[in-house]
Amino acid sequence: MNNEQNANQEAVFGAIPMLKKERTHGFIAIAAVTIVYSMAPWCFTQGGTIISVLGLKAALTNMIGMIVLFSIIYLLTVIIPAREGIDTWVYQRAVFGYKGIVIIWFLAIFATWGWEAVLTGIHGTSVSGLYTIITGNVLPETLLPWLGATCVVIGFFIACMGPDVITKISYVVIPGVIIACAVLLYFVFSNYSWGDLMAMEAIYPISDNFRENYMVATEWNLAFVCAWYTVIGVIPRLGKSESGTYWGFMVGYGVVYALIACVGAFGALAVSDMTGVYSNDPSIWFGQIGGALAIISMLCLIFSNISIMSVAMYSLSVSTKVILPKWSYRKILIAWSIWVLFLNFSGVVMEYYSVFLAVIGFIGGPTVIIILVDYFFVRRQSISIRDMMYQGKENAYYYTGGFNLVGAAAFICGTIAYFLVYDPINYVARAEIFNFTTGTGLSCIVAGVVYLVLAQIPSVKAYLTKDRK
Amino acid sequence: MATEREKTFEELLEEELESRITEIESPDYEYVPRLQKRDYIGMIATAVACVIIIAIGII
Repeated sequence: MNNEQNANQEAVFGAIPMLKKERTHGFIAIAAVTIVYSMAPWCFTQGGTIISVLGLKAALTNMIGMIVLFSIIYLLTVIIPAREGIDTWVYQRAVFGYKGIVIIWFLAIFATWGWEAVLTGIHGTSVSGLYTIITGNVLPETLLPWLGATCVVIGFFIACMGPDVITKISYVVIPGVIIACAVLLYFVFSNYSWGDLMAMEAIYPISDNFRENYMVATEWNLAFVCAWYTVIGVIPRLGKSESGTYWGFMVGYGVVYALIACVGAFGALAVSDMTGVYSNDPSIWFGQIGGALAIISMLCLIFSNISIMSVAMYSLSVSTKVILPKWSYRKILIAWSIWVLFLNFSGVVMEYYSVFLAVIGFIGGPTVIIILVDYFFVRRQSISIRDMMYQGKENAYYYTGGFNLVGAAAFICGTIAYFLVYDPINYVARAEIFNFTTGTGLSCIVAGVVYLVLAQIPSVKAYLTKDRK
Repeated sequence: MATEREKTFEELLEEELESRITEIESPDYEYVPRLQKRDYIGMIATAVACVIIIAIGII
């Protein structure tokens, strides 16, 4: 079977409901898959970003506490694909309409590739750093985007080879990131005691007010959780039980995700103190280690970057094929590769990482909450699979020309609330309520409440729940 | 028109979809086991632990 046929099969697999008898993944399998996906080098960048505004104790507890706490609610989304056997992108036809979901999907997918741009940034500095360690010479900075581009190109070719090769290469990810974490922690604790690290101040606090710094860090961590929005519906369809699926996701996308970010915090803090220069790029930290350990760590980062890039290219391209079935798999891969290369060469994501988090937050936060409100409270966990899968004007989820106006209104209200209370470019709260809810938190609350309240109006409820027939 | 060897996405989808939907819509269709009371207790316990961790970081 050639790769186009593979992608067709995978896209069909992604589009059709999975029956109970076809489920293959228990808790351990789900946890294993989610741990692989969560052990991405961008977690180091996240930890390195959080430690810039908070001291170590507050940063670690914020990452673990806030990420896991928000994940408890956010990951309830996996119950829908686990129960109904459909991807959340299919379910969102009920939330946003057949055409509305295409718009949401494009916004989300275009933004999601920013994570791969973070990988290319890390990849470029990793290759350059490795060269410096081995040769003692420094490559010009203008070469970094070109080095980063090699991650995209190699990832593209691996993705072209299909799922079997990708699966084998993805086995590099877990040991590679574990080795990198072990090396980094060994380096940090060889040079600093726990007390030394705890005594260090925040590197670049936003203000003198601890609470303001804390809530901005919280905002960044909530947005970090929202990053799962675009990929949260693929694996749960394989779950043998709702419980195993949910807790498997909590282990990977909640706990391990937070812990890897914590390792990043240690690295950024220690290296910043040593060199007097702050960076949230893990390859810079590994460069400080020097010697064989640094070489091993850099190689681990490089291979992990390429592996995750290939996995992302494959899975997001197959996901694109579910939305755009007439496009060939290769055409989709090329299109997304061009987009990631653009992000890589522009450097916008790495330079404006917190703004990128804001985009992830205001898209991924309210949409997931609307999904949860829709499924659990409005539809009371009862949907029409037939109307989900077959699109047409007579079907329950056609709404108004393919758009669910209620879902759109709730999403827009959530987005407005986000920008009313938070300036993501200057990391500044615009209203006091930000210091209680954050921007992402408020947008989730507003979107969910708007959707739920509107659904109580009888005519609106009738509009939303035509599937009750 | 696709050959016997290669089928388009739409053709593959159509082949699979109707039979699955019919099976799911049948009254005998069994879903995967649902969340249990212990799962909700676990969520609450995890939330409490998170709040404690957050409080430790702030104090």
